[in-house]
Amino acid sequence: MPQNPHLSSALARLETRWGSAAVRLGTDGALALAAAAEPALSAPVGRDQAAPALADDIVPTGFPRLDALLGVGGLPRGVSASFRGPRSCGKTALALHCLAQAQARGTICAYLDLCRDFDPLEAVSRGVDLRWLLVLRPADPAEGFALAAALLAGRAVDLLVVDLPARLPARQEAALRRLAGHARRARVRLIVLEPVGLAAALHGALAESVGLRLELEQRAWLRAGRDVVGRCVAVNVAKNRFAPPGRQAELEIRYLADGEHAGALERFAERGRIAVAGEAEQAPTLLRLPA
Amino acid sequence: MRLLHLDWPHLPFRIEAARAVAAGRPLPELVVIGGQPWQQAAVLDCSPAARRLGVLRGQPLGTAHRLVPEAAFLDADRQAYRAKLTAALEALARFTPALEGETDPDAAGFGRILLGIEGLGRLWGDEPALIARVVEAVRPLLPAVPRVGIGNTRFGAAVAAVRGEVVPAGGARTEAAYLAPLPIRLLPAEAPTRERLRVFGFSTIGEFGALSRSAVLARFGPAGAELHDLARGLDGRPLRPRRPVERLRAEAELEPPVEELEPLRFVLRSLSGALCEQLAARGAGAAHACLVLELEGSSRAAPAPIRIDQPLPEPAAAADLLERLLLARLTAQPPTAPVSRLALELSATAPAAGRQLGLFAPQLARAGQLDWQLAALAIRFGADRLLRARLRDPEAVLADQRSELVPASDE
Repeated sequence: MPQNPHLSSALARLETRWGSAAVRLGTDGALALAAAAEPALSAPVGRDQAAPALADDIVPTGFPRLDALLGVGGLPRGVSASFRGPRSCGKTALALHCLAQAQARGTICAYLDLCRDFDPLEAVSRGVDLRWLLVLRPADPAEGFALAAALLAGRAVDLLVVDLPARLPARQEAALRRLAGHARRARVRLIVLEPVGLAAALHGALAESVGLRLELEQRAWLRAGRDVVGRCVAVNVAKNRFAPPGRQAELEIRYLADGEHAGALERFAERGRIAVAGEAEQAPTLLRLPA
Repeated sequence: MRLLHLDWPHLPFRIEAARAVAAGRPLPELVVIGGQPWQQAAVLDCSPAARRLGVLRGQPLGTAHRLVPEAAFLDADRQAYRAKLTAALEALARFTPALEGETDPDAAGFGRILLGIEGLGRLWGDEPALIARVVEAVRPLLPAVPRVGIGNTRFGAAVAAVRGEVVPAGGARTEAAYLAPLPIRLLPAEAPTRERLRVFGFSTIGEFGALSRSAVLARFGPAGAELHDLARGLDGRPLRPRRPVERLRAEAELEPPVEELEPLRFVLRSLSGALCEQLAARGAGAAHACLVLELEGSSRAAPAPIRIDQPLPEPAAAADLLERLLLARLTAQPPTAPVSRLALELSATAPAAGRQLGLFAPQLARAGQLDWQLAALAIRFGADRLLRARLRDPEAVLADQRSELVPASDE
């Protein structure tokens, strides 16, 4: 590595901002910056990037496009990730998909519900098995972080989702860092749902502590006929320890698989069949409208 | 076989009555125990006055309410009834291990205890002396004096208890001779059979017993034949001694008394280790632990001992898990004075069963570890902080009714 202090400092800043894989050693010994945005979503991980974990230890996110961006195909054991975005941009849905995928691989998960708005029905519709999900509802954030740390120390859970409220006091920065440290030591996957209005100190702490940072932004609504059945979410990999950051993908997050939206889809499909009588095989199409 | 029969009729009612008197609010004359009239439950017991008005054990509470609408309906405290009778059984266990008693308040035999007293004369004196000792042993534990009798068979002993007598020792012939002059209503017959016996004109057990067995079998069927055997002193039902409650206890004197938790932890570890070794040697596990800390104080005003009852997530013989759980309780509730004695008792033992690994749910393999951890966290943070979600009615109109969160340690 370079001995120049200025270069070291610059590299450290780059790595803090964009992840350790952002700056790579080229074949001729020169430093090369990874591309900020890669058009090919399924770009394979280069040989020079050592795979950080075994394939068995990877939990996919449930969205193959996103898994391709992450470099290792999902969330490795012991990684901390933060999903950042405004309200209703799909952070919780993405986290629930990760939970479901982790449970399908035989893990026990926990959800630290600091916002107190965990919806079991939505979790089930995203494929979560409630038998193997612990919901932590502390009296205050400090107790919540202590509870989560004690739970991680026992190593009985493999994935912890922390739903942070936007008005989390900035003094919880240390607790947040400690929790990330606990997760790393206990080799537990940690997913932090980070709202946009979080205090700067907390945001900074998270940006430094996590190994993977995804920024979510809603792009469009998905409509079936007159019914809104989902949304398109742009995911930007802001930091990634395992692959070049800066890549983007667009995910389609549908609303509940049952209930009125499913009914709307069915109605739409029925109408589609009637409208195209004689061409019954034609599938109804979803419309995409800008948000 | 010599059997001593103890009988506390209407035991749940008597326990409730004694409680009410102690609280300064005596019960009314008409009492029905089992729940409130609108509940889907059955009568567990009633007062003798309610019994005379037609209330029966096992009757639906609504029916009992129609019979005695003015009666006081009490919820049944089954755990207290069971605990009282269990305490009486344990007190009687020092007389003989041949002890039979039903501790389930819903069972028909609740309130009756049988002791096999064959050959106890040299140890406890003759039979009247033994009766006096037995009654004295259970008097402080259960309300009211029991009906006591001694017989050669179960039926003979039960009848003797009703009459407060002792059947002379001997065989079936002696028993039959004792029963012969007694009224036939003492036979445990169903109501139709009892009515037929009355129509046939039998008034004493002896008259019924004098019939030939084939004639009784032809007229009354197998149930009648069994009654006939009882009338002739032939009761083949054996005594079924209860399995004693297995308890493991270890204690340690602390000299000088200890105030800090860390030294207590070492003692606790050695006690739980010793007990768990015993359990493991038997291939068993305990589902309940009780830790008692005696505190140091002046002889006049010694603080009350601290008693910590801790149910365990599963029957286990793991000393470290037990120690961790009890230490969490001690941390949450530290002793207020130096501890001079520490006693640990494990109960509710059960055979240690192999753990079934989950074929389709790999999480099952770690469910035990999770349960232990949840138990410890519930002590530290409170049971309502760690929850499990459960769907109730996904189609419910109100969002609150679609699902619920329940304490994880309750499951």
